[in-house]
Amino acid sequence: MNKINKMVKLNFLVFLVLFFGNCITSNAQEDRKIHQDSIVFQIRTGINIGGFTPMPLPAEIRQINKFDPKLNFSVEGSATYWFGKEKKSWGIKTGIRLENKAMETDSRVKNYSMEIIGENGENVAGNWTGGVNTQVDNSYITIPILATYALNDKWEFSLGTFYSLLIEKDFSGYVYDGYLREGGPTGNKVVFSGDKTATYDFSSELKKFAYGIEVGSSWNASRHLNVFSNLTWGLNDIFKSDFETITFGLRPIYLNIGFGYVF
Amino acid sequence: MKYTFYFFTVIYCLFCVSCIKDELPNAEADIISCTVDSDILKKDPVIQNERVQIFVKAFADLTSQAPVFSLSPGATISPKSGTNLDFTNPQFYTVTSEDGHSQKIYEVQYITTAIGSKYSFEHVRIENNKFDVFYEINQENQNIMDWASGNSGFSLTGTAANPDDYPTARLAAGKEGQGVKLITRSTGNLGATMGKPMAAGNLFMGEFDLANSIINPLKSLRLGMPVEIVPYAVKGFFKYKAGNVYKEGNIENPNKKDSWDCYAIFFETDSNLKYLDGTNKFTHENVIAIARISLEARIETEEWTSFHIPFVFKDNWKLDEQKLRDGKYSITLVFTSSIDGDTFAGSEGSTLLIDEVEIIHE
Repeated sequence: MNKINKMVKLNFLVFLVLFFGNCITSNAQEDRKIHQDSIVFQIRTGINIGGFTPMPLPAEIRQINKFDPKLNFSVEGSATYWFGKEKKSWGIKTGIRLENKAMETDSRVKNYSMEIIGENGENVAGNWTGGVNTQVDNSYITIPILATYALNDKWEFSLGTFYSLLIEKDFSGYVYDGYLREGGPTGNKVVFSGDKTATYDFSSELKKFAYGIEVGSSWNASRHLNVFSNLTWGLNDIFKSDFETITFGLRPIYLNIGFGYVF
Repeated sequence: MKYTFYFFTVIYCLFCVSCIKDELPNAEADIISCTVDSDILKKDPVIQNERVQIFVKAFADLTSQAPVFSLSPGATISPKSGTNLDFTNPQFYTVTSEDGHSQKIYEVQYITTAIGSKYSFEHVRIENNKFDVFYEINQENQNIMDWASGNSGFSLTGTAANPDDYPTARLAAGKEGQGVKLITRSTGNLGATMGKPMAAGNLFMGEFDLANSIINPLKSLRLGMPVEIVPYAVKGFFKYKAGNVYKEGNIENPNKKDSWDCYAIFFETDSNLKYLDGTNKFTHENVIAIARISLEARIETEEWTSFHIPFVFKDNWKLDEQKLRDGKYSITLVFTSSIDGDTFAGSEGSTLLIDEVEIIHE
């Protein structure tokens, strides 16, 4: 956790240095006005493609049989404040975005250490070798805070952070076709195969709050219309810190693409 | 565009770090099979997670035996498989996994003593730091048979905190000394997700095949131990109290009341039939005699009550003395706190206490 916080702080610092540093120099450059107004309002709609993934993939994951990114929608309303009187090439942008982040994966793991806690405090720790099917369907309210840079009247780039509040959640799935060794790799062994599966639902273990880095670009097709792509990279584990069943951190990494309308 | 180029470079790097890594060496350290001279074997070796029991005929020379083991892929064993050792007392083998991180010590034991016919349930050990295992001993205080139960399966439901929470546990104050306490228990949330909402307390002669207990619960009961006696009755003492709410799976059935069960089966083993299981225990053609408690005797009682169940032999059966000496005849004796527990029907809390059991023989 501490490490992640530090990373965020560092990112902010880098961003601030770049931001102010360039502000001063950019004023000295050419004069052509990119934006007519200081505050620009925009609405965007798009789709999210990506997944919740450990980074890098742990060696326990042997094979990914299926990855379905699902169709995830996003809508965003934002305001950008462009600095300067003349050129207005640097700005700061914030807004509010409603978005889905979902996926379904099917993978094979080997000797993957896990601990399952039942609703009544049942506790089984062990190592699983076999198939794991996972389904995630989360909805968030997200607030991005971004520095924006307009290269010219066509291209804009942005970099910053986002903060998300989880409003709807589902993290569930089942294990199948494999075996569990109780307590560790030398423990008692029990086999699951055929239609015998064990289901799990970790929805209630998801963190309410998520944050990360957002980097994006957009291309203005006209004065009002643009197309954009935005990469959001989660920096905190989606699970609560006391949740031990999944031993590696899972972070949402999604590419948000769509089009925007500038008022 | 230069910027777009950078952007896609970053994306490309992301996908690179998310590639599948090289497979790690195996972390398991199992004895998978054990091969012994078949002329001296009475029964296939019983391989538990940390114990191998090899039941051999009385004439076998235990001072020089060389069992051969097959292991988890890449694992090694010390002493080496096939080494001649003196098995008058159990030998200990250490298996080390391919990755070198896990080790398991197996107690390997040759057993010549046939199991006795009186069971007082005074010998109990705690297995895995979790649950009770009853066992029988010979005159040299060596373990000659573990009583089987479903406790290792119940352990995987995570509902039990100590040995007393398991369906099969020791009864500190039995009829004489210790006894056995069998209680039908809920398996909690995790048990339900594995399709096993309850677990009846059970105790039987044979093996519980935990590995296959979820795929095929009935086949995971491997019933029978070789004996050198011909039984004619089973007797012992019990107390029984049925639980309140009868359930079939997760569905309540107010018209039914739980009951217990006790049966013994005497049968012949051959190259096709090494043990009986839950699907064929009463019906297999190798079954010679069955003793099963009657409906009238399966009462609820708070006092130690005796039972006496005669074996009913199939017609025209003749004893083969040579087969008896060779350990070709087996017996299983089974107790359960819910008569339909193997199909997950019964009442939570049904409690069967048993003690001082004897197989009466000629």
